[in-house]
Amino acid sequence: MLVLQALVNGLLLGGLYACIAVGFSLIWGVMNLINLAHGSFVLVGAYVTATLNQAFGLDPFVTIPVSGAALFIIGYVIQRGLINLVLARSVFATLIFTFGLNMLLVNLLLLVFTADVRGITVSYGGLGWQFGPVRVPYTRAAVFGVAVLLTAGLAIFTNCTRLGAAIKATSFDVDAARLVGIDVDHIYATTFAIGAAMAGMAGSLIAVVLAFSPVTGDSFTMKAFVVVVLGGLGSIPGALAAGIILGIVDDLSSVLLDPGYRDAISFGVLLLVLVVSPRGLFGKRFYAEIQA
Amino acid sequence: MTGHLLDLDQVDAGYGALRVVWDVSIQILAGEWVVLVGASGAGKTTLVRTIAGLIWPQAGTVRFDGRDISRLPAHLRVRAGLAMIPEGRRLFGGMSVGDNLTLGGFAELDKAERARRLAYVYELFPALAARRRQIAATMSGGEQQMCAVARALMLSPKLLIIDELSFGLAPSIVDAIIEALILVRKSGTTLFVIDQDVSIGVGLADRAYVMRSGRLVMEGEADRVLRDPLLHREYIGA
Amino acid sequence: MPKSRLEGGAALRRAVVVALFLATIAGGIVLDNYWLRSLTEVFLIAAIAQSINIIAGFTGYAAFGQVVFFGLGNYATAIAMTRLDMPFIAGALLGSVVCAGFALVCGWPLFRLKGHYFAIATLGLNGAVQAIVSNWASLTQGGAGISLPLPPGNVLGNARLFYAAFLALMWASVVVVWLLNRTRFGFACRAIRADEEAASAAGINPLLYKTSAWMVSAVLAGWVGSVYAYWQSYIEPSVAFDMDIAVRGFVILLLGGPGSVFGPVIAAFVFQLTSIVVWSYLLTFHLGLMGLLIMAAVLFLPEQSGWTNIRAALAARASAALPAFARR
Repeated sequence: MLVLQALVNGLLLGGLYACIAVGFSLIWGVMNLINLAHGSFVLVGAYVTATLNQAFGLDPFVTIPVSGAALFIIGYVIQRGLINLVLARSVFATLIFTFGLNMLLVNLLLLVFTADVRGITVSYGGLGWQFGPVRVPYTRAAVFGVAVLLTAGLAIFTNCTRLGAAIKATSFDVDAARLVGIDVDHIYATTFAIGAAMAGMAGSLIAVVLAFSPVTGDSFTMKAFVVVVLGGLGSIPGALAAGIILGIVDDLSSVLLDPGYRDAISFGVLLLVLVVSPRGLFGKRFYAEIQA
Repeated sequence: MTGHLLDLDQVDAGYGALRVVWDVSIQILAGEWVVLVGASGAGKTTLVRTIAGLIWPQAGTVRFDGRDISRLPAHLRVRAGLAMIPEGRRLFGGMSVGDNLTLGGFAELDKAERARRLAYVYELFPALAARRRQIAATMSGGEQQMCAVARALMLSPKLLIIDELSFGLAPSIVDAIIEALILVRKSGTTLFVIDQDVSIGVGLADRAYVMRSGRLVMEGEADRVLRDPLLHREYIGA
Repeated sequence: MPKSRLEGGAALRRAVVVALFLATIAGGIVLDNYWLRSLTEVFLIAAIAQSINIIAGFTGYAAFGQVVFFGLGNYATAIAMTRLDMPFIAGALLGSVVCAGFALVCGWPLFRLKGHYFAIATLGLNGAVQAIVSNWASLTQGGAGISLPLPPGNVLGNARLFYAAFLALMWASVVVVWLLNRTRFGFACRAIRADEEAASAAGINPLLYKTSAWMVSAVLAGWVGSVYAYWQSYIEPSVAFDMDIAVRGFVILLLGGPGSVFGPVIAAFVFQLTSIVVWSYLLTFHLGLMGLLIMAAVLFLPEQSGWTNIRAALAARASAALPAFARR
């Protein structure tokens, strides 16, 4: 029952897609910035985990806080020092700027880590549960679980903390946020840092189940796009649902159609959603209305 | 010069090469109720944004409570006691009334103090208390304005500036808000109300300024200025 | 203040353009293979930048995935020449039809989107078309690519031929943009860029003009793609739909000035020649350095500038007095 296995695989992978996407969504929704370097942030997280695993034998799940912290700092610095300077500019100025940033990051990764495809093997890598015809490896299940936890964590943060409230307020109305005493520059930097940290932690998870190299970052950015557009900007439950849908669509199409069409299907989904319902499946009313 | 709560000295303001406000000097004493009137396009909002710190003056200085705040960022002016309600209310549309008000008290770290202020504003505006869970963007214009005023009051500002208080609102709503403002003023807050509607400050305000094409053209005691036939005929056309 | 842009002085501008025109023609006769090839690439990317200029610079719709038309031109011509045994010109004309048709069909749903969303949609469009082309092996030979019949003539002769062809395309693109600048059509596009609602209220049908502008830009990019395919004699999906071309085009447009007629041409020269220098010295950091240059270009070059927009440059200087967030 290949289809059933594909469904399960897709579900599990979908959680990871959602995790990759929520940081991207946060930055886009709050700062109206599409960060084309997002995939590189994910890769940095993956490399942090791979390096720590190789050098110290650390279990990849243990390294998640490290990549999170590292990307938080890197993200804060990049935003405050660079991104802040182009925030007020037009659509294609910011797109090109982050594209250039991405080129720089990819080159740096190539210099440090070479173009070799990397992966991580863990001792329990081959083990898993067997539910009838369907196999669920421990690693994939754990990745799914952690991804969902991180995503939920972000939701709790934005809805239940003072800083989260400030970030939400800023996403609604920047001037009004300033006028209630919110330091918007700091909020932007913190938001970007959180988005980067989420990307980094998602990267750690990716290292566990997928192979990666400096040039695979763009595919993560594209996945994030599709998930955010499908699920609706600003909606974390939407991102989760969309991630799972995308994961299932991806794996099913690999099984039922030519695997090469996987990307075409992803793009097709993106276009379909944009044309039919740009707000996505779960885009909440009033939340982070896009200033085009 | 000294003793003024707000002191604008020969302020020029605008956007890049576009100069909108020319040579404006305004002084407001603590406890006063001052109004600024002018037709739309007169530059009132640009001036207000300069006072609040959303843009910086291109010339001149802005002093608040004895301190030069000309280039102080907006969020720090709020914390210094200068609150501004922008035109168009500018609530956090997708959030509830309660959340909006709580955010108004964002800079107040003492939870107990925040709770006290929240109770105070709910008392001032019972209509808001009834709607504390309602999404702000779904309220009527008048209710939104009340929410905006209440939000600005959360930090117990020394100076409350309101831009276009009455725009798009029914007179009865405006009256209700003014009733609340009278109470607010009684509790010690200085008021600076900017509006196109000349009648707003009559019988209530101490002094008035009139602005036209970016410059101040009249100033003085509110009742005298606002009832001056010259004002009505030439500057407002009403 | 950017020093790499010439400002003011219509006479100076005209002189430079004429000098450039003559120089490029002379170059075709004098230069060797290497330089012929390098300059050919300059003309190519200049034409692409002008194509983007029409839809993004004039009409205000940042078609990030504009390279899709380049790719369609490549493939239409290649398929026409290999499967349908058509001569090159016929293949290129077929490419034009395909590109115009594609822009027409896709414009209708896509032009409902604005800003970021439109940009991403075109990105998705390019990705989708590339993926389909990569997999529709029966038509396109998929990832294996298509080999085109070789053009007649010797190496140097062909180098000169394609130098001339791309040169002609580049100047043609300049003429198109120049016409745009002077006609009602261009005025309508500019109005749409400035304020679409207001333009609509003034009686301009936005969809009509947006789609037409996109079709024109598509045909231009398509021709560049067609000639490119014939030049390379071999095409494959990852090259035909390479986002790198789109990004370079955008950067050059930004450098040259969106809405400017000659700016993108000058910028193409500057950018490509810089790129060649960088490539030859810093092989392993080429990508990173280009990334840095792109970021610097965005940071330090005001978007409104072009040949004559001194007022905007002054405004940019005056606005330095504003806190960063108030600058627009």
